[in-house]
Amino acid sequence: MAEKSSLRTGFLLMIACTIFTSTGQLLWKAGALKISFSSPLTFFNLPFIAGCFLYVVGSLLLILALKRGELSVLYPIIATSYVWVSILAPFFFPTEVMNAWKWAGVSLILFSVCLLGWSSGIRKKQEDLQ
Amino acid sequence: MIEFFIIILIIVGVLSGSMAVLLLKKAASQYSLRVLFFRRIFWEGAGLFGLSLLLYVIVLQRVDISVAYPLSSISYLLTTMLSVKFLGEKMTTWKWIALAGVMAGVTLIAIGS
Repeated sequence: MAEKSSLRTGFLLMIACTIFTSTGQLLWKAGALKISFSSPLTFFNLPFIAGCFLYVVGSLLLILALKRGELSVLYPIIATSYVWVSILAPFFFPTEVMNAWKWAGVSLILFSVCLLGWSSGIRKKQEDLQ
Repeated sequence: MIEFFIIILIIVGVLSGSMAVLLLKKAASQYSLRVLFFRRIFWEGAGLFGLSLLLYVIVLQRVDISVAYPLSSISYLLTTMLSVKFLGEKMTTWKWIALAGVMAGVTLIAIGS
């Protein structure tokens, strides 16, 4: 039982990790547009630094999550970052719009991640019974 | 047509990314947070993680997202295979189906991009 609630924490930590890293990536991209290599000081722009900070926080959450479950269950959850990037990108960059393909992909990823959590929960139960 | 050079970058990126999380997983389950940052295996994992991120950024600058996303989603399959081989994790039919669903979902987003 303790195993199962720890897996749930791992799951939630992974989701939080992807929210931080994908917001970080979007800020990176926004910041990267302001960078010119001829004047290195442009590296120190707010979106770029904030993006780095969010990425570091996300990586720490990944480490915490990995303590709490199987890699084969937790790692594919990283794919939810595609969901956040697809949904958030239009707010950052007006040229990037959602379309039917992206919505289908977003739904399929979310469904598969739920399936992953559900199937690993089932296996835990079976192991507990044995 | 993608250049040979880009394919090499993608292969090295996917391999190092999967190896990185495998090492980080080993480090995280072996050591407490207090000593983790002083262990070599952690920094090997973190270094490979950084390398794969760098290669990914370089690839994204040269290749269209619709090509780069599906190729990089191979890392989910590779990481799963490494966890079975080196961590003794067990797969079920449902876990394989979910993994295939994740990879197909990433490919759909790539088609729409």
